[in-house]
Amino acid sequence: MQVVQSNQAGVPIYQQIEDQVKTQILNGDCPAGMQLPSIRELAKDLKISVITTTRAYRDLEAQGYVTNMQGKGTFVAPQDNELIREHALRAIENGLQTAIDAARLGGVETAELHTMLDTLLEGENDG
Amino acid sequence: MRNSVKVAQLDLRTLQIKFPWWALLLATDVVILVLAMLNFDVFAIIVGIVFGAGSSLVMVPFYSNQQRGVDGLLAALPVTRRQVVFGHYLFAVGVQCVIALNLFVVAAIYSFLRPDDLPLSVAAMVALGALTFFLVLVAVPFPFLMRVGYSSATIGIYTGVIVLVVIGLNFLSALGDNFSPSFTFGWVVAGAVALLVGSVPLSLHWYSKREL
Amino acid sequence: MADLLTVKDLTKKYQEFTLGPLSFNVPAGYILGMIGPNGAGKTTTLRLLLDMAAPTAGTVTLNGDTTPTARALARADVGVALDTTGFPESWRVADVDSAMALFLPNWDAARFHELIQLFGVAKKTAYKKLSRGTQAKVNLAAALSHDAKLVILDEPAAGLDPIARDQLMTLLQAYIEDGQHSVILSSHITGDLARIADYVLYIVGGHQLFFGETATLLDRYVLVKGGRGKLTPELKKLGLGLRETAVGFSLMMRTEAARNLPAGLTIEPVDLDALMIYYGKEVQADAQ
Repeated sequence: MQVVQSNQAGVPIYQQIEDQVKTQILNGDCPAGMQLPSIRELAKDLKISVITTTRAYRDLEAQGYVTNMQGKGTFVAPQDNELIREHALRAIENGLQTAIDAARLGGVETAELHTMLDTLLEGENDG
Repeated sequence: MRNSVKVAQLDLRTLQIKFPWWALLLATDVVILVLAMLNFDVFAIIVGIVFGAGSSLVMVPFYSNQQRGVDGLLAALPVTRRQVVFGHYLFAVGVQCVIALNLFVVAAIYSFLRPDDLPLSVAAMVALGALTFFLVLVAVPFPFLMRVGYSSATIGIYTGVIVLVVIGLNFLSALGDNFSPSFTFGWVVAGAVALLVGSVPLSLHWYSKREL
Repeated sequence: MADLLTVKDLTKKYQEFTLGPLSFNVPAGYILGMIGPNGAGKTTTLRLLLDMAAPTAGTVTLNGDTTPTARALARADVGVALDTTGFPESWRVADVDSAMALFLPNWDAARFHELIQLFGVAKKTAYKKLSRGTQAKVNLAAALSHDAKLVILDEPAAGLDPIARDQLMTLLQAYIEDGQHSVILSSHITGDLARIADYVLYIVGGHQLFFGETATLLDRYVLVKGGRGKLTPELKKLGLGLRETAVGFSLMMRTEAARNLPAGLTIEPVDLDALMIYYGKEVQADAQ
């Protein structure tokens, strides 16, 4: 499991941890059953407080991404597809919105936007 | 009481004597004897120096930490305030007994070599006199040391006691012709011990209230 | 997890200054940071915990002990590094080692030397000849070398360069890693140490302004910034520590109060430094 924290972002550290862990779980880098670093180990590695990592892991558990087993550790929970789909949809929406905003700023027409999407998808299918 | 002994040991370690103390003592004694053999007056000077050493060595633990004492350090260690006070007394009286005893040994040896210059009884009295002086020098300033630490007030009391004792001893030696010296002396020593014993409860009381 | 330290209504009255009442606790396995301006009472608080001074009121339960005598005898379980607990001037590292070994049954000489080495302390130099920062390192090494359940440090980062401060943070986090040990430290250098402090106790002028999770305190306030024209009287009333310059203004405000602000203002989270600065300004302004 990798966590890279940024001091610049206005995002609180516990949020950064949660987001990064979620991403890795959803894209398969952290498969179901894999053990995550302990709360205290993670706190030490990231040089943040124990309460912060505790909160991040607790939130992740509440949202179904991991399971905290008392005395044993924290493990990636088997992922349910609903969750994965939801996460994907949200990521797509964000990405598309970014593209739309950029098009508007740069004066690119909707038709051209659609064409670009098709071209990119075709490129993926070929390669 | 084991803790008090440890406190006394800590006090001793603030003295930082480079060589083993007994070797140092032995060397000094030899030098003193040799000098005394050559010139008796040196002996009196030596006695003066011994008085000085015995009184000042005892103060070292109380200013050994940049004018602060070891009491700050002791506050962080598993000892009670009572044990600290007893430990300080143990250290002070212990060191001074060793010095006084050593003085007696040197004086006795000299007396043996030159019984006319220095009768044994006089040698004994000088050593006992030193011990008395030391005991008073612990008894009176220590409660103030415990109360306020090493401050100008304490130093003032300390100096005051030295002056008073010196005057007192002179007074007594002048008076000595009227009374048997050992009789007067006996009372003086008893007085010093009583003073010492009496100063302990005061030290305990004041130290228990002290803010470190 | 049990509390290693419980303080209730701790008060100390001096002639010109009253500290407290303070109420806070430290569970095992966590770090408590004490913050506040100079003279706020942080050191006095630590001294009260160590029975170096007697409180006027209130109770302290440390490692389960409720009386000064019990605490004194159990002090081997407390690691201490204060300004006043330094060592005699003539001592070298070896002297510190043997003295600590004499009093502390759990003294770990190997660990002590490891830390001395890590900090780069000259072993043969007399304590008085060491720089203040190096003296602090020796005190710190001693405090961390007898497996004390609770470690109490007064301004441990003062006089330390960034490398040493980083080492300090790592050491303290490793110290609490097993969940059985805790650390209390007072500090001015809120930046680094604030990140690892689970709990914070904020004292100003002897008053306890806050005790709780660091995150809770930081979530409570935001920084509001904007151009000169945006500063309205309502804003001034809601805010603390207003700072006005030629190019704009900034002030600190409760997070709830900042929810309905007009557009065009920048709202940022606070860190402990900002908190102390803006609050300090407010206190200064009040005094005038």
